[in-house]
This record gives sequence, C-alpha cells and structure tokens, in this order.
Amino acid sequence: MKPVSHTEVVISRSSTPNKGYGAKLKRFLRECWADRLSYLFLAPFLLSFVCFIIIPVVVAVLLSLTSFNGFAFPRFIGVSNFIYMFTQDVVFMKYTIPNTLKFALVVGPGGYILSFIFAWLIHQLPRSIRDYFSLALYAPSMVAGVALTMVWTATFSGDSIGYLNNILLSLGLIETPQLWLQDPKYLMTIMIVVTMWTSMGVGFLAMLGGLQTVNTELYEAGRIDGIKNSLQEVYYITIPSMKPQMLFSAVMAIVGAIKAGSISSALTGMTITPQYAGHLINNHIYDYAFLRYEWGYASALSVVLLLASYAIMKLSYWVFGTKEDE
Amino acid sequence: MFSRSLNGIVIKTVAILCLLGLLFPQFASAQLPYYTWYRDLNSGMIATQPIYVPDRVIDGNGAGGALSSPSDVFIADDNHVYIADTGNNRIVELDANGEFVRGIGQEDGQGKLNQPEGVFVSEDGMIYAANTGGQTIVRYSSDGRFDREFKKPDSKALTADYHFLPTKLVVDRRGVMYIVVKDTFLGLLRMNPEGEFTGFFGANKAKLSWMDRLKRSLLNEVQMAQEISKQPNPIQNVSLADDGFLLTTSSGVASDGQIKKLNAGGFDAFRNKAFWEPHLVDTAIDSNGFMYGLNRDDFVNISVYDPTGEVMFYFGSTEKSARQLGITDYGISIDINSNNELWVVDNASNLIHIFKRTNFGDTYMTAAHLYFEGDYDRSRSYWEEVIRQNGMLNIAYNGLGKIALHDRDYRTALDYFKQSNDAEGYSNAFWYIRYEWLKHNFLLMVVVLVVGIWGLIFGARRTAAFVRKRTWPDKVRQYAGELRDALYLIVHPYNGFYRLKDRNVSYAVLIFIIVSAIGVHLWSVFASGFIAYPFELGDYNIRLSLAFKVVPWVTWVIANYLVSAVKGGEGRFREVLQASTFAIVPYIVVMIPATILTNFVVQEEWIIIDLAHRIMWIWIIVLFFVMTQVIHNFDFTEAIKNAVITLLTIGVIWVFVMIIGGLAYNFYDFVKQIYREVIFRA
Repeated sequence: MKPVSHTEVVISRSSTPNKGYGAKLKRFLRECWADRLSYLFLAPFLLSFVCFIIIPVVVAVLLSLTSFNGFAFPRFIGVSNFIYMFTQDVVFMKYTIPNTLKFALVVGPGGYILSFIFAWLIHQLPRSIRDYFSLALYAPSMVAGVALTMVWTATFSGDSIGYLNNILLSLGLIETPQLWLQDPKYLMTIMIVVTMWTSMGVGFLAMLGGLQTVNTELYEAGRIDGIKNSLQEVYYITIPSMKPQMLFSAVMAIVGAIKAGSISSALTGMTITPQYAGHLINNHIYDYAFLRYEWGYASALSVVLLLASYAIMKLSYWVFGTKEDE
Repeated sequence: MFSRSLNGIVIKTVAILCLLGLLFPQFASAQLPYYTWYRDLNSGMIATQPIYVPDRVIDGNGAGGALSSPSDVFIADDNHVYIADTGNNRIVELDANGEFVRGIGQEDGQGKLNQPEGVFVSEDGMIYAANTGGQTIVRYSSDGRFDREFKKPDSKALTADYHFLPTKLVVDRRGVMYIVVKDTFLGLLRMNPEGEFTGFFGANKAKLSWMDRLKRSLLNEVQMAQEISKQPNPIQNVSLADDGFLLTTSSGVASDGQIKKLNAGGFDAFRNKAFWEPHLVDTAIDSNGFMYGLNRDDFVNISVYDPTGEVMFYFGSTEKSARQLGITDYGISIDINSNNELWVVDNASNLIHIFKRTNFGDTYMTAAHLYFEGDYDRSRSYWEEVIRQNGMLNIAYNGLGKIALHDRDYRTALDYFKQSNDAEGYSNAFWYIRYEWLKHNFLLMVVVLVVGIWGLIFGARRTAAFVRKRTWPDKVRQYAGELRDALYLIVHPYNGFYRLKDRNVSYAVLIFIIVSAIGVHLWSVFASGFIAYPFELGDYNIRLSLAFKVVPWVTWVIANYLVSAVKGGEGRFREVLQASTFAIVPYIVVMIPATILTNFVVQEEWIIIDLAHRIMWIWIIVLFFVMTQVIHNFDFTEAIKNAVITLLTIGVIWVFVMIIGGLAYNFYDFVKQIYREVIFRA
C-alpha cells in the first residue's frame, strides 16, 4: 500500500463537478474502498464504540418510549413517559429538578475552580515531589466508594462520637449532637462538600497535564513584554494556552455534577434520602429502575439526563471554547 | 294644699330635670388600663382588641383574714385554687368561684407552716407546701390533715453550705418532687416519694460570650480568679404541663432558654430558645399547650405563647403601688384554670387578679389550637370569625391559607399566604399553581419557548440588518456606539477600559446608564415575585435601599479619583466617572432577567436567583478593580493597594459628612434660636 495516495485522490476528485446524490454516494464508497486499510485499523475501536456506547444509548432511547417492567416485552407508549415526567411526577418536579440544579450549580463550577487552583498550586511544587501530591489529590476519586463510607460517615456521624459533633460539642458551639446526615437541612450541604472533595478527579489530572504542556518560553516572552507577577501570568498566558484542557475539565466537572447521585445513598445509607432532601436525578432513575421496576420511565429519565448533559456541554463549549474574534 | 301643690311642682321639676339630664349623659369610660399587643412576625407589634380582660380581684377578706404577701397560686384539676399565703403562714384553698374553703397548715404542732412560698396539689389530691421558712416540704392529705414532712435529703451531693430553702415545687405522677431551691444554680432538686435525693434536674447553663472565651484562652489562673465568675441563671419557678412536661422559668440574661419545656430526661423541647424577656417570673400552661408568662415589665406583664414557644400576645401592665383592677404591682405567680381564667398573684398589694378570656380571645385561641393540632377543617370557621373581628392578624390568614392549600384551592391559598406575609406557604401554593398550569399547557409551553427563542434570534438578526442598512444621524450613531462599547466592556474588561482612556463618552449616555440602573433597581423591587420581598411593599424603605446603592457609588467615584491623583494614577476625573458608570452595566444586564425570573421561581429553586445576584456583584467588583488598574495605568499590586485605600477613603468621607452634617444642624439650630430670641423678645 502507498500511504500517501489518498490526498492526491481527493484533490484530483474535488475538481470534478457533482452530479447528484448517486455520484456522490459512488464517490464516497470509492473513497472508502481506497482507504480500506485505515478502516481495518479503526475497526476495533468502532466496534466497541458501537457495542458499548451507540447501541445502549439507542436502546435506552427506544425503551424510553415504552412501558417496560423487565419481564414482559416492552409495550410502546410513545412520548407518554416524558409527558408524565413533567406533568405528573411531583417528586421529579418538586425535589429532583431543584436539587439537581442546586447541586450542579455549586459542585460543577466550584469543583472546576477548585481543581484548577489545586492543579496550579501543585504545578508550582518542585518536580521531585509533585507526583506524590497529585497522587494524593487524585486518590479520593479512586477510592471514592470505600473512603466515603469510612471517612465521611464517621465525620458526620449523628452521635456525639462523630468527629464533627465531637469537635463542635467540645468547643461548646452546639449543645446536643446534630443528625447531620438524616436532617434535611444539612444533607444537601454535606453532599456538596463531599462531592467537591471527590470531584478532584479526571478534571484535575487534565488541568495538571495542561499546565505541564504550556510552553515555558511563553512566560519568558511575557516577562519581556511586561508581565509582572504570577497572577498576570496565569491570566494572560496559562489559561489561554491550556484552553482545551480547561474545556475538557469543565465538561467533566459539570457532567459529573449532573450525574452524581450515589453520594446521597452512600452517605445516608438509604436509596431515598429523608424528605427527598438529597434526591438527585440519578437517585430518581435508580428509584424507578431498581425499586419500582419501571424501566421504561427510568430510561426516559436517563434520556433527559443525557440531553441535559449535552446541552450543558454545548454551553461550556460556547463559554470556554475559542472564538473567532479573539 | 298650697304646700302640697308646690311639693308636686318641685317633684315634677326635679323629675323633668332628671329626665333632661338623661339627654346629656356623662361620659363613662370603660377602657382597660392596658393595651393588648399582637406580635406580628414582619411588622412588629400591633395593638389589638383584648383577649383577656380583668374580671375581679380576691383580697382574701372572705378567707379568714386578708392575704399577706401571697407568693404562689396553684389551680387543681377541679378548679379549686390553692394559694401560698406566705405572710399568714398558711395555704388557702378556694373553690372554683373563689369562695373560701379552708386554710391549711395553721394549727400548731406538726404541719405548722412557716412562710410557705409554694404549693402544689398532686393528681391524687395530696397537698404539698414548700415551707420555705421551715426549710421543709410538708405534705397534707386531701382533707388537709398533716401527712408527712420532708427535710433536706441526706446525700453526699448536698453539702453543708447547700441551704434547703424550697420555694416552689411540682410533683409528677410517680410522686417524685421537683423542687425550686432559692439561690442555687444547680437546677431543680429531685426527691423521690421517700424523701431521698435523686439528683438535680434541668439546670441552666452559663452562657459564654466570645469575649469570655477569649479571656479564658488568654488569661492565666490568677487573672481568671479576678474575673466575675459566670453563673447560670437560677430557676425561678416550675409548672407541670398536662402531658408531663416540666416548664421551668428563669429570669436574667434574655438569650438563655428562659422557658424550658423539659421532658423526663431533662431535654428541653424548645432547645434553649431565646425568649427575650428579662423579667420573667412564672409560666402557666393550659391543656392545649399554650403558655402564659408573667413578667415584671412596666408595659406588658403577661405574654401568651403558642405551643412552639413563639409569643402571640402581650397584655397587662405593672405599676408601683397600683390600685386598679388588672394592674399588678409585683406579680409573682400565674396559673390558669379550666375555664381559661388567669389567676395572677400580686405579692405587694396582697391581691389576686383574675383575668377572663374575651369572646375574641376564645375564638382566637380555639382557632390557634386547631391550627397547631393540624385540624384545619375545624379551624376554618374560627379563623373566619377572627378575621371578621380583626383583619390585622397574620396568623389567621396563614391558617386560612393552609386550609385552602389542604383543600387544593391554590389561588385562594396564594392570596391568604400573601396577606400573612408567609413566603414559604406562598411558594408552596405557587408551586402547585405553576404545576397545574404546566400539566395543562406543557406542550404549548414547549412550542411557545421554541418559537419564542427562534423568533427572538430571528428578530434580532433582522433588526441588526435593518440598523446596519440605514444611515443614522451622527448623534444616534455616537450614542449607540458608546452603548455598544459599554456592553463590550463588561465582557472584555481590560480591552474595554483601555478603549475608554483619553476619550470623552457623552454625558447623555452616562446619565442614561445611571438612570436606567436606578430605574432597574426600583422596578426590581416592585416587579419581583412575592417571595423576594415577603412583606408589604408599602413598608419597604425604597429611599434607603436606593441610597445604599447610589451613595457608595458616588463616594467611590470621588474617592477613587482623589486617591489615584495622589498616588500617581493617570486617570482624569472624567475618565474615572465614565469608567465607574460603565462598570455598573452588569447590574442592569443581570437584574432584569433575574427579576423577571423571581416571578416564576419557587423557594426550592431560589438558588438560581441567589447565584445570579452573587455573580453580578462579583462581576461588578471585578470591573471596578480592573477599572482602577487600567484607567490609572497601575500594575496589579498597585491597583489592589489603591482599591483598599479608596475604600478607606470612602469610609472617611462618610464619617466626615456625618460630622459636618451634625455640626451644620447645630449651627442652623443656633442661628434659629438667636433669630427667635431677637424677633419675639425685642
């Protein structure tokens, strides 16, 4: 095989005028055939992508149009699931959406800013110890499940032995132990705090990687051009140079915040939190899928979640992506 | 004959005169000697019609001699009243009508009382007296015969310097006594029926302020010893509720839990709630859980609390050497009988005042009782009656709102909650209305939203094209350009402010921006949803809120210019003014959509509004900072220094203006006085 022939072929063809869809299709197939070897290399990825991403999503979309209890064959009911969701499901409207909104609005940007700050701080460390610190910061998101139940439930335990209660009691700030994890007043805040802690994951690593890719010559050039302190460096050089990583991190942070849900059940030990105080959309999906066996409706919910994530991803591209006029 | 006719004339004349007199009646005032206040959560105290009126007094003249410094009253379940008649060394028993039944503890021998200050009758009819002078508790059987005496219990916990001076007591169902002992901080003394000490109960805690904590961590032991030691408030009085809770009353520092509702474990059901009444002396509780507190304040001395411990009414009054029905001199004890009559013991004038509940009070209290029980259906008619008699009481509207919400009559509920200034209830009702609307118009909404957004984008493009195509007068083009610059500036602050340098933006545009910011502020107050301002907007101090925005801005402009001029900043005053004006554009940009949104958002989703406001303020602060940096050509640290100094200068200006204002007023007053003196005396 001659590896370079492809471009020449394309260039030579583009000069010929189009003759309808038939000709276009023919040309497309011919190109495919010409590049057959590259498709062979692509095949493993494409196959697994189709099997594990495309098909499940398509099936979920199809199931969302049905009533399905997991045993009988799905019964097609059109968009009733979606209409029900927004017009009948009081819990969804009254607790799930506001909670998810609140959670995502705080945890998404909050976790994002935190991971940037930490990545930047760690980047300032000498190279020899930098890796240990990044490992330490990344650790929470690796051991999330175990660490959650061990560390945080011990911290927020509702008796006087729980760390937080103990400290507050000994300081005399509270008189009786608080039920941190069962009280609807506190649960949401605690969930937010804990998630911020665990969300230092992929986004953080990406930021750290991004910081390391910034061309150091730029800093020198900047200093010559009149940059005086490291804050200006960050603003004028670091952030513009690592825009792709920032974007990736933003998408990960926000989408991660939206699809969080296991946190509330891990903290409270209940699938449904007291008075729906920490009821996020993922809890709602879990509720309908694994407690009520209404898988059609659960699929509809996850489709909505998918659409919301997509919309937010678009939004972050719009906010963080490069624009023409810059 | 003559004399008889004369007599007749005289009599007739007198009779006619008397009849004529009826045409010009003397004014007789039947006003109560005190006001009744209703405490409204939003607008403070409202004077309202009485819920209790003084009915009669008992001086004890029919009770075998006048009372002498009575100090406690207890009303048993059969409405018999027991009074600790301290000065006469006896317990007086009256029947439900206040007629004397008998005196207890007067006979010599065992059971002779010495200055008893407390009395209690248990469910089985045993009469307990806190025999303060004798330092004992004396128990009598229900027929008034001496039964048993309890001395200071023998226990290691009670040292020799613990003086057993019992003043008040209650006895629970098991016969366990809870005794208030004079001048101790250890709480109630608990004694079992055998007279053994079983521990202290419900002691108050000393409250440490931050200052005290600081002292504790800084001072050494010798210095600490010189500090006045912090003592918790002693318990003054104790009452027993029908459901077995103990109500303790402590006076003193207002922020400590003055009324505590203790369960058998000593846990306070009010969780150390602050009551803010420094002279509280006694509390009574009725069968519905409403509490009545007795104060020694001048203007109000009886307060009525709902079962959650929120005060609803104040009434009564205290006056030294009072001789008027319903006014106490030195109130010391209060109790309520099953006819809801309040008996208040006046220790100084040796009287017992009896207050009767009015019709209005009855209606109100019944409604409130049903409301707190959650029996909304039955409370409805009572609330309606309350509103008919007094339309000012929020809780009535709130009750009706909850009923309406319960009945799924959301619109009515919305109105009622609005009238009662209850944001949470309003939010709930509004949620249901929105939900119902969504249910019916969901598809319509989606279509309208999509078409609307598309239309907006399309319209904007069309307008832009139209604007570009036409040629506009120079002035309009200039203004439009400057406004566009303002919009560009808020998203690209560094570039934007840089473009403002050495340039004169027209005053018309600056004034337009300022005026629209003020306009947006005013509009945001009146166009916001009810949840944003859950009170009567008439009460809202619009001038003050406006001043809070305008005055800092004006002083910022002046201070920033002055400080920068001194510190070597480049900016001219004009530049500072226009940059500061452009920096407030985010207020207009964010407030408009946020305010519109407040009309559609419920409390659960309020985070959106909060977030918008917070982002807006951060945005504005950042703009002001960047402005300082760019306009004056400072570097980063210089700009920070400058901003801090500017803020300090703003403070100095305010203080200065205040002092000058005060002096100017004094001077004006002086001149005025001289003018008067000259005009009127000369």
